[in-house]
Amino acid sequence: MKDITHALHAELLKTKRTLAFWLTLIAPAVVISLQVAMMWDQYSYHLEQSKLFGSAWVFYTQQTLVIWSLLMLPLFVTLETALVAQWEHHSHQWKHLFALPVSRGALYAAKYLCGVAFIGLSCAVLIALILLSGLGFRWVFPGLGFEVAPPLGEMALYGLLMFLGSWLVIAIQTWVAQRWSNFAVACSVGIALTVASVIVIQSKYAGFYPYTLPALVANGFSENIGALNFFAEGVLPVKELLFGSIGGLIAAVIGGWHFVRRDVL
Amino acid sequence: MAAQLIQTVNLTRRFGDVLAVNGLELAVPQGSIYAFLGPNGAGKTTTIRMLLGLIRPTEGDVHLFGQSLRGNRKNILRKVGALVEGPSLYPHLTGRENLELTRRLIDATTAQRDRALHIVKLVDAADRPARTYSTGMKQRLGLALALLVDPELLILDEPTNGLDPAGIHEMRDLICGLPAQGITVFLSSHLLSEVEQVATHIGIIQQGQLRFQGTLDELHAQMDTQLTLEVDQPQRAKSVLAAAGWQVKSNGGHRLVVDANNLSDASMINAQLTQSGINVYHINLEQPTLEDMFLSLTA
Repeated sequence: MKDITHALHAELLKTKRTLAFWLTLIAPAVVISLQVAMMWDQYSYHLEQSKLFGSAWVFYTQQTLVIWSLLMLPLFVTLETALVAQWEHHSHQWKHLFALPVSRGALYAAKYLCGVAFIGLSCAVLIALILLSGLGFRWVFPGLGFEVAPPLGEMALYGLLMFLGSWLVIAIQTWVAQRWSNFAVACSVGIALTVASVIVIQSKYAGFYPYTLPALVANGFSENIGALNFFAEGVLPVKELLFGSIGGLIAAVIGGWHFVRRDVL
Repeated sequence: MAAQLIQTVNLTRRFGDVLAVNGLELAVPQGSIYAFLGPNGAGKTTTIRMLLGLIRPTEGDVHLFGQSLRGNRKNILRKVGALVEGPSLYPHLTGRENLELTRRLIDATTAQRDRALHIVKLVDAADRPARTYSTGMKQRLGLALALLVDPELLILDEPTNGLDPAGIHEMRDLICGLPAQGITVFLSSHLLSEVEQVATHIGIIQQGQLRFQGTLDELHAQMDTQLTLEVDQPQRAKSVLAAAGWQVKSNGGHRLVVDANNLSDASMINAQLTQSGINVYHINLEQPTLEDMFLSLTA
């Protein structure tokens, strides 16, 4: 445990002046910017849908979470874990790190937890930006329905669920990015499996596919949400949540077990 | 006899069909500067990686400080600093931050970090990003990382790689001063003339097998010294010396090379030539250099 604390402390220093850190702020901001632009362009559609959903906040949040959790989040996980892995691959750090009197498992765990922290931070930033932009809409689009109090508890809950549901994807992408030093390998795997998730989410196997889990657990925001909301009938998607979160921890342990046994050539 | 700080028992590593290291029995005495030499692909780096536990041996075992590396890895590595195939640096971090990162990992003190910076003379450049460092500075920062643990054993793989003559000189001075601080040094290098100036012990590996291990004097004792002569009648001189039982090689012109062991042989040869009426212009007893001995053992 002491080794993990030390390794996390070291990971924190590595994030200094890195693109990986700044992306946790930039990526959610890009999604919100797109949403604001769409709101501007399709005001009447939003007005209509907000009435259908019974709340402008619910519709806006749901729309943003769908875009983020189904497409952006897995791609973001791919990019972040690949960037974090490159800190070591780029300068042949593993030979230095593995020759230190530190548990190898702790070094791998710190890498995984660093990815988890980045994704957690980006999800928190996304929810905060949804809230801020929604409050801004009160002045920019009066009459759209943002005047009522935002459902803060639900927004935070589904942000958290989405984050927990992404742990398995983070574990898989961390292992791939650490196992193969080539940046392109990690990116190709992540992009291919994310693109496939757009098809898989429409099938009955969606609950068994790691890359669709964040979208499945995040889309339980409202009871009548539409086509993507397979598991959102007011019921917490427990199975998907456990598969994504606990499954993620188990996958990280297996990935770490495999990684630390490798020879450092 | 000094205790063996590094001892390998039948150390073997196979990569598929290739036997990279074959039954290596290293014995590195405490307080020595042990130079591990060999041609490219001889198995030096593979051996060093096994000494640090980066690669698992196919057979055999590594003992450091009298303990097997298996099962005692963390305890042993607390006393070992290493620089393997160039420094591992995070280019976006400053020199000090690079050291700070390792300091946090091994729970060393900030005083140890600053001391390491001081030893490698990087205090003034400590707050510059490592990507702006010259090759020599990067190499010195790599050495500082290795010294951060206050090691009793320092393992350096090609520590002078990429350094200019001034950098090589600095690195040599640094290494020479380490045994006085209680640090045993195990280093591999291609610069044999440099090694000859710092090493107390030599190990020569070829095709994964140890060809020689011992002190520099022991290596010299295995090699023939040569007497170089310049005379006015080389053909006659060759006949005279051959008749007296010396192994003579003509080196063209007025130059002869004779296998001789010591100054007494040189004196005897000189006397035999002058008594035969042959004038000797030049006489020199040459000790073979480490490079000569290395080439002779690995040819």
